[in-house]
Amino acid sequence: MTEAYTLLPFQFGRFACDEYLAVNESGEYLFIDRISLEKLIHGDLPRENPHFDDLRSKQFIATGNLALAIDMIATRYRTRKRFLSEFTSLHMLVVTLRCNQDCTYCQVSAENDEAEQFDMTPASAEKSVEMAFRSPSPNIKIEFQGGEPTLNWPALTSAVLKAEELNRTAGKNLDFVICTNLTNMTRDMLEFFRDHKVGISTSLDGPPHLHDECRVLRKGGGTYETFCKRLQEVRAVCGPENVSALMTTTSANIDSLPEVVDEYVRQGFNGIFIRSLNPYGLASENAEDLGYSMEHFAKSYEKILDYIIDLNLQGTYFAEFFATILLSRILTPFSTGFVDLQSPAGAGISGVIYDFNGDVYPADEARMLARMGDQRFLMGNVFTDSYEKIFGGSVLQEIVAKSCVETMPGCASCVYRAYCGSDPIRNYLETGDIVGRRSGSGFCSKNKSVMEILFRKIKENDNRVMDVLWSWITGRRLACQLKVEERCCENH
Amino acid sequence: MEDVRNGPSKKREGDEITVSFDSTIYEKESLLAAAYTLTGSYTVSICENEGKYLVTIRPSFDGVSPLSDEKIGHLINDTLDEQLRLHLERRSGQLRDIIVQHAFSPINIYEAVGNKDIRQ
Repeated sequence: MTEAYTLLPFQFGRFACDEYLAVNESGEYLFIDRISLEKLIHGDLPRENPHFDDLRSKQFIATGNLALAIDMIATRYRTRKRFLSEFTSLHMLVVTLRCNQDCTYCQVSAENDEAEQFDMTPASAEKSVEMAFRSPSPNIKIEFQGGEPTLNWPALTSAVLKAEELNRTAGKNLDFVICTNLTNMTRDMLEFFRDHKVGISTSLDGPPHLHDECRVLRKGGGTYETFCKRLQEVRAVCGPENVSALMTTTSANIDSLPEVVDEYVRQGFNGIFIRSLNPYGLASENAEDLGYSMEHFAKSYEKILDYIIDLNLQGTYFAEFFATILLSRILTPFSTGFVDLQSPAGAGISGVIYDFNGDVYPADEARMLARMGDQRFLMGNVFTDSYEKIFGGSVLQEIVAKSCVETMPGCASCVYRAYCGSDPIRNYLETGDIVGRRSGSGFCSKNKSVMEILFRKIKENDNRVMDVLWSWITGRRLACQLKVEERCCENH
Repeated sequence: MEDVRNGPSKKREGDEITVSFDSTIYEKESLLAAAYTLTGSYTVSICENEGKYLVTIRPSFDGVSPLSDEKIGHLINDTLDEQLRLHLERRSGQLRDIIVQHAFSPINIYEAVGNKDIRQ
């Protein structure tokens, strides 16, 4: 028996032997066999087909009022794109290019710690902060980057104090973060960070032999011991909840990720972002020694994800943050503020970067290109250009127009489109074109591989594994989550 | 040409392979979309000849192997998928535009698609 239905738009892709994954405009997903898919698209799917009710409830088809179905999809679509309404909330200040470390994968190609000509002046820092406060976003996060930002203490403190002064009138939700290697940290600095609520983001690549493989001092020697000592001091003064760490996957640690995770657990962190190498700066120059194929990364990622899930099942709450972001997009309708994977790209409209001389770029990679002689993505300068010219100018307009995966060849029909994004700067670096040729690129391969891994977990639907994954999304430890569920069952 | 009666046929000449698609079954748009995914490593040219689309694929760079039989199979299957996507686009593409318009710039949705229940 057939029941009339209107087909609503969705994407699909082969998932297993004879099975497809379908995802619609509101991000709802469904697994469906080939024969049912063909019948569905040709308008012949019978009412008694086992997928029919799911297709209707998830708005792949409409059997009643079409306008109501569209209204519901549009509401979810708008919710997913919520990040657009805020405009630029992340403002990164490169207060110096000097660094006391010489990490082999440094994507900013830091300078030696005497190269003060690359320091942001306090005046430049304050002007950048003034520009940041022109943003209409109710949330402003100022992130200090380098080099090693603590090497330019005057500019850093000027920026913090200026932001606080401006915010007494502006009344925004103001946050600060510093990206630091910790090795130059002093007690006075920590007290300043504590008093002004500056969050600390640092880097830890694993146990000593892995961390010191790539993260070395400019004058020679590893940094692990100093890092650990400073980490204890940071936690004692600023509080353990105010420090987080990132790792970079290189050929040195890609096959030892369980050791890296164990180190994170040992150091008291409650999560990790398994971050692949980006092809910029020293990472690009040293690609032959540091790099790996995306197939290798995907295999290692799947193994470490299983390892981390197991850790959780054994009672240790520990999240993988990239999976958490993607799972939030897959399993909830909410917008996630992950600048590196947005459509349109987050470059410029979600985050911008202010160079030491006041030049403004949509992303750090664009700033790196400028250092290499290509000023293609220079948006303007805080001293000579207005907010309107910088943020409404042709550079940003072109990036936004050409980074919507909904309209890009290949991406527009990709089954993962609703959860994905683009990196126009990287496309330009790799192909000479902002739109680029993404299919088969490292960026596309990595993101697709990780989404496939996550969808396999979703399809397997192991209750215990799904509980762990949901605990990451909700931020609620598994034990607490299970207790809540028990209480709900008792009440019923 | 290797003759596979009910599907595309193929012919190898050195590093180059030509796959022939019946133009009464496969639309040009579906071929273009499927072939696009190969353009990272391969040069693809498509022409029409006597009721068939001839898709010629050769490696673009040194170090890229000629397209394997497995990847040709993927191309053929991808073309079928793209054909299905064309049907889907024709039936629902306009609604996607309305969804996006409605999401960002509220329109009178009932004027755009009507206020009718299709069961009536």
